[in-house]
Amino acid sequence: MIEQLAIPWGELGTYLRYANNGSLEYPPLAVGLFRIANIFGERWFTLIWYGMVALAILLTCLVLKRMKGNFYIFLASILPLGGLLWDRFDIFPALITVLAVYLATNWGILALPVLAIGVILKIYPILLLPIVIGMLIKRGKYLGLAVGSVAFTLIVWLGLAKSESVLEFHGNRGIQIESIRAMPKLLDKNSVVEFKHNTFEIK
Amino acid sequence: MRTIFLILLGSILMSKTFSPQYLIWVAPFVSFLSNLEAGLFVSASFLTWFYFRYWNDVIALSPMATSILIARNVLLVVLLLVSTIKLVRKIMLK
Repeated sequence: MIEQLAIPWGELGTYLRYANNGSLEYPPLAVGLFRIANIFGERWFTLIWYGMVALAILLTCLVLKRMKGNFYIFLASILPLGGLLWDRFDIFPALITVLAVYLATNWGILALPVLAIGVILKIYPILLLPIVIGMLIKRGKYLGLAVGSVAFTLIVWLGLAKSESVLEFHGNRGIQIESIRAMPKLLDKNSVVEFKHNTFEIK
Repeated sequence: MRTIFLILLGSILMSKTFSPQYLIWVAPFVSFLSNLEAGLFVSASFLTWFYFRYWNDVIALSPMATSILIARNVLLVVLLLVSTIKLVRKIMLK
């Protein structure tokens, strides 16, 4: 019974497949996370994955506490998501992103390299690059800015060197049914929903 | 922190893709916002969980299920506006 429960299914089944075969959807570092969860084989995948997610939540709370944020609000924001939290890997780039912002105010030299790890994990943390640079300049952490910029460039360049397929995959995606842009189409009786790019798109 | 929150939420809302778990990207930065903004975000999280329970109805474009999804999206747009107004007011006060 327990072994049956441990076999990954749904999104975790997809992650297990990516751990074994690589992925066009996610950058290489994300596939590395899936491989860590698969280190003892597929029977342990789900258990290790949930342990990793719980650890990431705990670490995010600790970072938020150090930043004097209200981590109870963070928990209240994510826990209602249920399986969307536990069966997805988005908590990991979220942790890395908030850690980079924390480091920009304390350990400046590490801020940009940590942000770079976030970028090669899920791309979107690159949106915060100007903010983190601005924080380093505002606090006069010029050494951190100089060394960090070189490290950022190297990590992103090496990390995404073979990721053209990932960028192409996301570039080709249509309008996802849950997006704001899809709202007028949701009200249109002539709209059509189809499964493409591992998600549901609306036309 | 509000600027970071706005950059992330604005990017998600303007994108053609918006998977429900993207809310996790923004969640750490909600912990620095006002109770009103946090309340709006937590409500959006609940609605996300709620419409996801009726996912088959959502993709079948059932009016009931899509109205929950639309309500979630409207809530997030309202949150974006409220947070932007708060940021602008803070900047003007300085």
